[in-house]
Amino acid sequence: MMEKPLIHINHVTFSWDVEPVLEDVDLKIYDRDFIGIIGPNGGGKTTLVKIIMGLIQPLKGKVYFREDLPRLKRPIGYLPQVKTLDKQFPITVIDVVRSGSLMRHNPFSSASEEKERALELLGEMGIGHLRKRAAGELSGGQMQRVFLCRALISDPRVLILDEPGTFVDNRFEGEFFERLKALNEKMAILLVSHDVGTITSFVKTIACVNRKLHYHHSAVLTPEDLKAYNCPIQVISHGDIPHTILEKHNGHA
Amino acid sequence: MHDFWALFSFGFFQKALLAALFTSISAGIAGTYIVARRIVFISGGITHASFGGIGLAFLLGFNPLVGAALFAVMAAFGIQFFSEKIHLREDSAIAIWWSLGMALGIIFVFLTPGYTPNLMSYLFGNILTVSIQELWAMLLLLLLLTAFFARYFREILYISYDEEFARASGIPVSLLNYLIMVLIALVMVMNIRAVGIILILSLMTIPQATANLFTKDFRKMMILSVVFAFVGNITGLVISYFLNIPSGATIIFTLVILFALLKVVKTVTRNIPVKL
Repeated sequence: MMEKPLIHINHVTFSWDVEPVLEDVDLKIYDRDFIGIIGPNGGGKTTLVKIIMGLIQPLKGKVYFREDLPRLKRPIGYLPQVKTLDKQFPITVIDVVRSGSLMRHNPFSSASEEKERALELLGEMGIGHLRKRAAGELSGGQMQRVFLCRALISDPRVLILDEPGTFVDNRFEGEFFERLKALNEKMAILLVSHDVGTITSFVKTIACVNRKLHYHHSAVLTPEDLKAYNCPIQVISHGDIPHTILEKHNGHA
Repeated sequence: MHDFWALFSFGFFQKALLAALFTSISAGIAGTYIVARRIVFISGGITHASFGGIGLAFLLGFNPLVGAALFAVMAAFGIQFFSEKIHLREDSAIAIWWSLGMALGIIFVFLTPGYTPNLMSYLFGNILTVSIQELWAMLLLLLLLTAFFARYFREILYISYDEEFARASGIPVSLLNYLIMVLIALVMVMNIRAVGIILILSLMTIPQATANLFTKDFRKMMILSVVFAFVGNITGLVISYFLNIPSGATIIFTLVILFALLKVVKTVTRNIPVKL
C-alpha cells in the first residue's frame, strides 16, 4: 500500500511495572480500514487503545498521526470501555453527546447546529425522546448508544470502539453492526472485542493482541493461518457458532 | 413592620445584604461543582485546614482571611499531592490536612498573647460585621469565579462527568482541576465571614440539594442553588437580627427548613412536572 496511514503505531512497548503489557506492537491504520482487535482479557487491547488516545504514554515507540489528524482537534471518535459513571451526576443526555465535539475537529458553526446534529444522532439510534433525561436514568444499553453518538458527533475520520458489545442487547446488535458497516464508508474503524465470534463476520482485517500484535490481512482465519501466525488467542467457547477461529490453539508469543 | 424597613437603611445591614448576595452566588456556583463531583469531604478538609492560617494571622498580627486563604490553598494542593504522589488513600489525606490545620490553629491562638476577641466570628461567622474591604475582596473573587466558570463551563462539566473521556478529548484536565480547586478554596475562605468555618460546607451543599429536587441539569442546578442560597441567607439574616441570635447558624437553619419544606412539597406534588 502506497498511501500514508492515518495512524501508525510504531514499535510501541508499554508496561505498568516490570512485565510488559505490550511489546514491540506495530500497526498501521489506513482510510476505510475496519480492523477487529481481538485477544484474551488482560492481553493489552485496552492499553493499546489508551495509547492511541494519548491517555497513557508508551515506554518505547511512538504513535504517528497523518498531518490531517492534527494533535489538537484530532478527528478521532472514541467509545471507551464500559465503566461506571456517577448515576446521580446532573447532566442531560444531549449534553453527554455534545461533549464529544468540544475539543474535536468541529464541523459546526454554531451551538444550535451542534445541538441539531446531536438530536439527529440520538434519533438515528432510536433514543431521541430521551434527550432531556438525566444520563443516570438511562439503562446500560441506552447509555451505550448515547456514548456512540458522543463518539460520532464530530464526524471523525477514525472511530475507535472498545468493547462496544458489552451492553448492546440482541435486538440492537444486528442493527448496530449494520450501522458500523455504513459508517465504514466514511471512516476507518478500530473495534476491540474479546468476543471473536461476532466481530469476524463483518470486520475487514483482524489484529490479535496478546502482549504482541499479529496482523491478519483478512477476516477469514483458518486454523492453518493461526498456526502460521502463531496467533495466541485463547477463545472462550461460543456454543455452536460455526467459525474456525473458535478452535483453541496453543500459540505463544 | 416599621422596624423591618428601617433595618435596610442601616449601613451595616446594607453591607450584610451585599455580603449575602456575593456569598450566595459564589457558594451556588462552587457548591454545585463540589456536590456534582462528590468532593464535599475534600472541601470540608480545606475549610477546616484554613483555621491554621487564621491562628497564624492572630499570632503574627496580619489579616486572618489572608492566613486562611494561604492555608486553604495549601491544603487543596496538599490533599492532591498526598493522594496522587505519595499514594495515600484520599480520605486519609483529607483527614490529615483537616486536623493538622485545626491543630495548628489551636496552638497559634493559644500562643497569641492576650485575648482574641474575633476568633468566634471566624469559627461561626458574623455577616453583620463585614467590612467594606472584605466586600470588595468578595466581589473581586466572585467576578473571577463567575468569569472562569462562564468561559470554561463545558470543559468543567465534561471533566466532572467523565474525566478520562475529557482527557482523551484533549481538555487540559489536570490544569483545570487544580485551578478550580484553588478558586474553590479561596471562595470558601471569603465565605467564612458569612457563616464561619464550621458551617460553611452547608452553604455549599444544602442549596444544591434543594435545587437537585427540581433539576438534574448542571447549569440549572447552579442557577437554582444561587436562588435558594440567597433566599436562605436573607431570611436567616433578618430572623437572626430580630431574635438577636447568631446569624451564621440562623442562615444554615433556614436553609435546612427551606430544603425540608420543598422536599415535602415535591413529594406531595410528585406527579406534577415542574417546568424550568
